[in-house]
Amino acid sequence: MEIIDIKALSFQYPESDNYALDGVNFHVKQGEFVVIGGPSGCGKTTLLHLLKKEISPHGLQSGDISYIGKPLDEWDERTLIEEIGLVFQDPENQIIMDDVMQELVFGMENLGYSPIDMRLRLAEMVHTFSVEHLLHQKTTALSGGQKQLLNLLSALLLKPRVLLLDEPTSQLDPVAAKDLLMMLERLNKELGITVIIVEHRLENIFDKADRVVFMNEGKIIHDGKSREVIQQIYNRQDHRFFPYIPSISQMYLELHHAPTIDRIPLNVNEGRTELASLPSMNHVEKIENKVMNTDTEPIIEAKDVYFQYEQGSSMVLRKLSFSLNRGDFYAVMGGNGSGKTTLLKTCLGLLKPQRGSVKRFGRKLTHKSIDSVHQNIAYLSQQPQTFFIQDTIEKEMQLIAEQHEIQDSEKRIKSLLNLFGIEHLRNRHPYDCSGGEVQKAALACMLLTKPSILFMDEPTKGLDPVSKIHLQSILRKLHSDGLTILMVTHDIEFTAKTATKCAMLFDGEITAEALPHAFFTGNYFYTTSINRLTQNSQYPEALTLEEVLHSWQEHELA
Amino acid sequence: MARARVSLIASIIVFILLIVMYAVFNYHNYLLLSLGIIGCVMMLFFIRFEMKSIKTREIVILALLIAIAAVARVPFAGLPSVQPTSFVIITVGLVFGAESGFLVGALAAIVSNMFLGQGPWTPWQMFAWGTMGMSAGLLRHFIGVGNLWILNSFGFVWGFIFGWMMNLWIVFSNMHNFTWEFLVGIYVSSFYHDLAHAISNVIFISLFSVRWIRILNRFKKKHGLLEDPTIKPSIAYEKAGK
Amino acid sequence: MLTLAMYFNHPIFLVTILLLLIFVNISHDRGKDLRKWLPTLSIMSTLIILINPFLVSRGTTILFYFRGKQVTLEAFMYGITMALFIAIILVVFISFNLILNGNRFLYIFSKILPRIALMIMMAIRFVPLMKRRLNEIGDVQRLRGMSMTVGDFKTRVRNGMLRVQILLTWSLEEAIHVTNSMKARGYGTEGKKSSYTLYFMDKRDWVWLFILAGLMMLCFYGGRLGYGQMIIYPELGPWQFFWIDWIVFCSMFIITSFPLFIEGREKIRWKLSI
Repeated sequence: MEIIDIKALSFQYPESDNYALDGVNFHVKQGEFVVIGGPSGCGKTTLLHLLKKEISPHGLQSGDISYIGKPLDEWDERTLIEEIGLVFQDPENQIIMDDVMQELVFGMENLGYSPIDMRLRLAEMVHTFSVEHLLHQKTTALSGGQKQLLNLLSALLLKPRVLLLDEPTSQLDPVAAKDLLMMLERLNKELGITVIIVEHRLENIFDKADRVVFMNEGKIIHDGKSREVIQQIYNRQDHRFFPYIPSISQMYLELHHAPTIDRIPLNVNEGRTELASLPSMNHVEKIENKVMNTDTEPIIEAKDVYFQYEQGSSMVLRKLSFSLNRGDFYAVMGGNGSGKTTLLKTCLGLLKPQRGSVKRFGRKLTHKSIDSVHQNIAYLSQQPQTFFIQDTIEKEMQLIAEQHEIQDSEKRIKSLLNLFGIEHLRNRHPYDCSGGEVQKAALACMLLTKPSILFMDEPTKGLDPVSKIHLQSILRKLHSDGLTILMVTHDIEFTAKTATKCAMLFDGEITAEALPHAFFTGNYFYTTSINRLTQNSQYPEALTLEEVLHSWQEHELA
Repeated sequence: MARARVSLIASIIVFILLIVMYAVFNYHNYLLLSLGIIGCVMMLFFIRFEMKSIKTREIVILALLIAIAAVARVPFAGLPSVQPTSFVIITVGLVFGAESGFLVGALAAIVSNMFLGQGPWTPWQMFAWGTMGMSAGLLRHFIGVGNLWILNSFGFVWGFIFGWMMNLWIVFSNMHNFTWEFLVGIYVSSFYHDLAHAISNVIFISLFSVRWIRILNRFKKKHGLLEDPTIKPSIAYEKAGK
Repeated sequence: MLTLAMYFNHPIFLVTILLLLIFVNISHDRGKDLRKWLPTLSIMSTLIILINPFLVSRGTTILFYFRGKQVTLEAFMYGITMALFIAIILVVFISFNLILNGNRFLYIFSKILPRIALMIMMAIRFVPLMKRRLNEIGDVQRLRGMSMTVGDFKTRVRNGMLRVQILLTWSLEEAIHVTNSMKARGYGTEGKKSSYTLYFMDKRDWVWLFILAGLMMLCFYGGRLGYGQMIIYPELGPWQFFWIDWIVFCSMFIITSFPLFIEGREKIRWKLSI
């Protein structure tokens, strides 16, 4: 049975010349798990919001949306609120209440459920997902993953038949993201809830989804079962969507002489089975990221640093020592709460260690040196929009040029905007840009002063795969031009492709430091999916898809 | 709606009772009396707001502005004499009108005291900031916001009025040994504090009011929010009746 | 309780009220908040007790002369009652804060003014979020040279407000998501809302309320007639209680210790059941 049926849906926002949705036909069967992907601004969020009537955006709309055979407008308001649930992207912005319990019952209270009903549902839900320990906490005290779980539970308490999710994992760390996806899979399989999820990180979701849909510029481009869509993209050589395909599937399709559709691997296990059937080559040639070390004089040096946030709380950094050399692209990895951000802020001088010293450019950090305008560093935070004071990107850059008395500013502004490919956003308000665009704009502003070190906190968080590839190439370029980079991140694939040195922060200190290949190959979880696939084969050194494909070409030529 | 009407009537009755009690029983508890009167007056405003029809988005924006007014002091931890909350409240009144100004002012006092500690001063603070926001809304209504000079003198004067209102709670709680020297003493001792408040209002208004009014207006126009119906009908992109 | 304290000025009454209130406070959070206030409280009280007799020379029982001014027993006593009174106000508000922050107050409030109560609850939820955002903004802006520690007063004030301005712009943009989240869960729909937490008033509660109200009236009436009060000026009155004083005292005692009684009963039952 078709639970959602969309016919020839077009939508245009007020004061916009383009269609956000352009003749979309889309059907979902009851109990399906559907994934929608596509670049920022392709219309996927608009599509999702139009399905949730209470929040559907206002604009010119044509075409039909039906829910269980009846147009949305003919359903009564209450039924739709209950039966179609929605979880949004940012866990923080959905929470209304101070207490977890109040937050959970918010929807039921609004719809006037009887106390008995509420108690029963709450008890059942809390028990099923074993979140008793969260029930009496403050919502602010929860971690990102717990917050998103809370949002999911709030929607579930109204017993929805369809669950819509708008990039629910984009703000979460990989572990929490996996947990959430597993929970969705469970809801889909055990309770038969129809799931429609808009996502960027598709690597783990292809083998869970019954159907995958790709959109671009308001149109549905690909629609079908996971393997069908992958094959379709490959056969049409539709490069727009290559970054969305799991690297394991890509490897199979690229290397296999006669790939068949039902053998396309979607996870490591299937990949290993297929690996044997792939043609063999001599070995995989490592491609190390280009090291730019010109001297080994450390420009940041931390020695025996101890840090705790409050007296009596546990030490976040414990006897931590590390050094950053000029020309490094240094990535610090580690689990949640391992102190990555604390390490970064200590190096920035924002946090003062209780014991130990941090030296930058050979001088100890003091309040004065941090607060001077000319300190030769740049910091890209997780929220790059916090950088902007002015209402346009151009004005912001001009202000910085003025503050730093930069010569020839117009020329530099222009060249930076071109480097980042954001010349067209020049007069845009920073808050009207997409996440990836704001990040680029903030970087462009910071680079105006020619800093020698760039600090980054989770630069890939919330980015779509295409923006991630842009960022990757921009950072590579900046690094090869001599910029020293220190980043903390969860993103293994990204680190493997960019960093020249990786470190693991564990138990308050750096427990391992190595080149990417030595660092990643052989790990169970802390490694790329390609390496997880190949580590027990004849190519244990393979880390990225590029390496495999490159070696393959060499092999073919030889 | 019916509930709000009941409370409206109840608070009027309480108000009358208070005055009767004071007049007939010669009950000289001025602090309690003044708190009762303040409570009733504020209740009237709150009930008016409860009875109005309002969009969900407007509730969110008001709650957000209350929170921002309450935390505005955080960056100024190193500068104890600066009082940024008043500026936020005045700007809200100037852009969103008298009623929103009153609400944000009064509730910002409760909310910030939730974290700093409530006391007998809370109602006074609510009343002082509430009327500050309200008068800013009235200022816009009758004079307009174009003239920076007027705004600056408005902020300057309010720096003092606020302090004077807050002094009242000390006066009222010590009515039984009231002397004119005592009164003058309190007002003189708060002079520097009030002056600092007045000056920081002027600094903020002259540096930021234009920017802030533009930011809030841009947002208001974009979403057709909290328009005062007496000035012009709201520009709503929202479909009527949701 | 506050009313009672304002009504009586007999030191024994005041001391009893204060002690009972302190017990109530301790039963709430083991006196954690109270201990924070203790230094302020004791310094303030001592100052009032010491300073009042030297400033006010009213009263007839002269203890000694200080620089030609008479220091009287009456003024001394008055200082003590004032100090006790202020201590009571403070302790009441400390307890009040404890109860108020437990959201119980807001539930009751939301019966009368649901929209205002919701706004307050939302604002309370936003405050920690806003603080965290301000810290992030502060870090980013500090590193681009917009400092709060260097520079003249005006620059620092400007940099501070710039942070609040960034917070405003940022948070306004996010407000749309908050709104959507509320609408998605049925806020603003027609029809009656319900409440998960219910506070039933059962028969026993009504009886208690009635008794308490009666005792309260008794206290007020007694107080108006001058019981439970001590004449201080111009001459210190007698300490002793009349039997009516005792009645008033007992009713006051029961009223003030009522919260303690309720909490204590729960604890005793809890212990007995094990």
